[in-house]
Amino acid sequence: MTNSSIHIEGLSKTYKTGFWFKPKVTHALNNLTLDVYEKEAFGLLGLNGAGKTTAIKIILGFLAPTSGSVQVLGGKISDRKVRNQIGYLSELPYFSRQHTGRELLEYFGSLHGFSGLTLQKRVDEVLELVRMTKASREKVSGYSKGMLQRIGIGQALIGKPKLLICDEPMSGLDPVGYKEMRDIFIDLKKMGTTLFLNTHIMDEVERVCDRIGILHGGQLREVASVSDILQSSVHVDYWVDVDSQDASKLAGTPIQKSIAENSGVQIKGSDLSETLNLLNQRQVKTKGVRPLSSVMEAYFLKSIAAESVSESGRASK
Amino acid sequence: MNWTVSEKPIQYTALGLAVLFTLQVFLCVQLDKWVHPEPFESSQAGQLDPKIVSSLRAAALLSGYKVLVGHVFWIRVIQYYGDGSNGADHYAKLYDYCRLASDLNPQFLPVYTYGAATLAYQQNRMNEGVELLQKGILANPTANSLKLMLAAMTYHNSQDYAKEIPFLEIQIAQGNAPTMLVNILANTYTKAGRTDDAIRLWRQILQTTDSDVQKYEAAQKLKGLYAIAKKNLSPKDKS
Amino acid sequence: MKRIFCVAHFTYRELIRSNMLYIWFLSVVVFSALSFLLSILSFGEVQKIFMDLGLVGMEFSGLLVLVLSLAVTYNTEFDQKAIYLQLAKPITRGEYLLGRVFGFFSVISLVVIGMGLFIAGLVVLVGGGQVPAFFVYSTIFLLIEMFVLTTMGLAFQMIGTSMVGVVLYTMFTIFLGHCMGQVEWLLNQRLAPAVKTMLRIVHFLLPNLEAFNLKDRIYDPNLVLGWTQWQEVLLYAFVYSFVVFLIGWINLEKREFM
Repeated sequence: MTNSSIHIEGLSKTYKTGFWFKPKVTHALNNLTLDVYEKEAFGLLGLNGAGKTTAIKIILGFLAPTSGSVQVLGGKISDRKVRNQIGYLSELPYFSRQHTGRELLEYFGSLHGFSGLTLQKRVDEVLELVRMTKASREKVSGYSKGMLQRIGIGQALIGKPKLLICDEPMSGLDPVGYKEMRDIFIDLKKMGTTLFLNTHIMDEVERVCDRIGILHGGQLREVASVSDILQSSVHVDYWVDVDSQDASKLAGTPIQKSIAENSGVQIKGSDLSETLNLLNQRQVKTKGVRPLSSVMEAYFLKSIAAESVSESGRASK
Repeated sequence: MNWTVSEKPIQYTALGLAVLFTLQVFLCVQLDKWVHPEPFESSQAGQLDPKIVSSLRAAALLSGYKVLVGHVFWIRVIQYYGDGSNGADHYAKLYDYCRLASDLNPQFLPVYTYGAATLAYQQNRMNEGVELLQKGILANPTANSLKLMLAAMTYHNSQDYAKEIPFLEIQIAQGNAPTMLVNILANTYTKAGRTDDAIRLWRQILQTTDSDVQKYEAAQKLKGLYAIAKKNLSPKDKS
Repeated sequence: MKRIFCVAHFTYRELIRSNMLYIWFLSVVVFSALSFLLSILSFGEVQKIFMDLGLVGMEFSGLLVLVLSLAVTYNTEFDQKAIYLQLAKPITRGEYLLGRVFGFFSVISLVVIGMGLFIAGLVVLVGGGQVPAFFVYSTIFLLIEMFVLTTMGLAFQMIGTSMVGVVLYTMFTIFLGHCMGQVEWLLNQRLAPAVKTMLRIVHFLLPNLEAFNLKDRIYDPNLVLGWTQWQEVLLYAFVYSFVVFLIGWINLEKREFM
């Protein structure tokens, strides 16, 4: 049985805001139970306000849960030894503008107990890994968004973590930065690091994650394997390209009009094979078949469409 | 060592806080015995507007910069005395200003030397001058200049100029004496009939001072002294 | 201990590079100019004026550095959430806070001592005078006061919910701390018991900054500064700072980062 890097059981978090005699109660998390196994990449998806960041903050000890428990790497987050094996990248990380990238990594490395030549060596390795060696001696105030994210991931990796927790690691990155970050995650996965990612980006989830969890209104709706989702075509609609001149061959079928007018037809995933069979029978040549959305996106939207929720995305009184 | 404050240690921490706080209170009480000199509250407003006195007191105490306020206020005192229009009431507030300045900065000696000399010699308010000096001596028991000044003023009061002069001379010889004190000595020489010494001193003032007012005064004094000296020459010396 | 030093060093570098030393230059220029001006206008005691105003400048620049540093770091650490990445590391919150205290204090000490050396140098080299021993003692007491205020300021940072609040609490503590002598005088007057009790609470809750205020008394011949007084002052400063530190630490431990 695979060990859990993160074991969450019955986790709930309630906020009270407003005046003391008339407080507004917000349930940020509601009975969340989740396991993230060793060496896997787990993606936590959800709308804004679903409770993803709250979950991460409780895992890392920045917030206290109202009820429930969290175990990280088999121990409590308050244990220094546990935190020594965790790397964390917050959403839009902020660093002291007065330091260089190298100095920041040296600082964070020293907090992990590195010193002297070992520290220097480790810093050089991480700078190489995040492709920041050239810019490492410049002040952070001159860094671009992508460079800040790379330094951010660098400080998360400086302690050689077994578990890497990232909150929206791709936010604000350009396509080049996004690719570089994705490559880093894939490399880390190969090295056996457990990844726990909060993200909105479906492409990232598809390429990096092994499993996903969908959080909505503070509740965990689905946990599923990414490969299972991708292999199933039932979740997306497809567009089938057909020459409009062949529309006459499809007389009496529901798709004839669409083909005549639009040179193609939109088909649900569940009906795709049937439609292709029909075209084949009527000797209609298909020019191409393409999905109208990503599989993951479709799966996600379908999962959260089950109940209507409040504007903020949180269930509240 | 894990320093995280979990539930059980927080009780010990609270207990520790209570103990330490009590210790801190005890130490505070002990410190109070030697830290605080005579409270500033004891100074009276006298002829001054009580609002000015209160404001100064507040500024000095709230900031903790009593000496800074004292130094700045001393400039105000000098400005007050330098403003001729205040002569209309014979500089009535001068003594109270000097006393307030000395409350703010008890170890600043010019408040006493300049203040007392002005009050005693120039305003003929000997009693106030003496009181100011006595206050200064209490606050600065090792300041010999104040004692010399007091002695000089005592003899001046009894018009025993011959005995007054040595005290003034010693004070000026020590250095850092205000120019006014040199003027006072020169005038005292004149009163004691030591015209030559008076002439020497006024010449020195004339040559060294940058102030036009003082130059003019010195020139006028010398004019008068030369006339006296000429008058006192014997017919043989005159020829 | 190593982690505490790392945080202290990091904080020190951050504050120094935030151009806090400009405050030192500004203070040196302003207070030197003021000293020259006052010495000309005051008719004498030039050395005393330089010493007095030098000490005032030293405290003023130290306090300015403290207040500005608190404001700047509150914005960085709490508003911009730079603290998250540090607290996620294997460092306890107590170590982090202690490191910050030492980091702040090192910068303030640099500014205060630097200015003190400049003033002393000016008096000795330019004025040809001597630096009284109490000037040195006063500087040491000033540093002790700065340490107490640094701990207090950082404790406010852990408790406060806004930068303005932290700055205001610190500034009011500085003002009220210097009023302790007058609070004692009030306690000796005829007052209602309830008022006296409240004053006593205020007297013991707030730091008695007058205990560290020697700048008014460096020429006071009645001042006694023996080993007993040194012990009491140092012990008081240490105990009070520790109490305040504990309060700040407990608040930081219990603080939830929303």
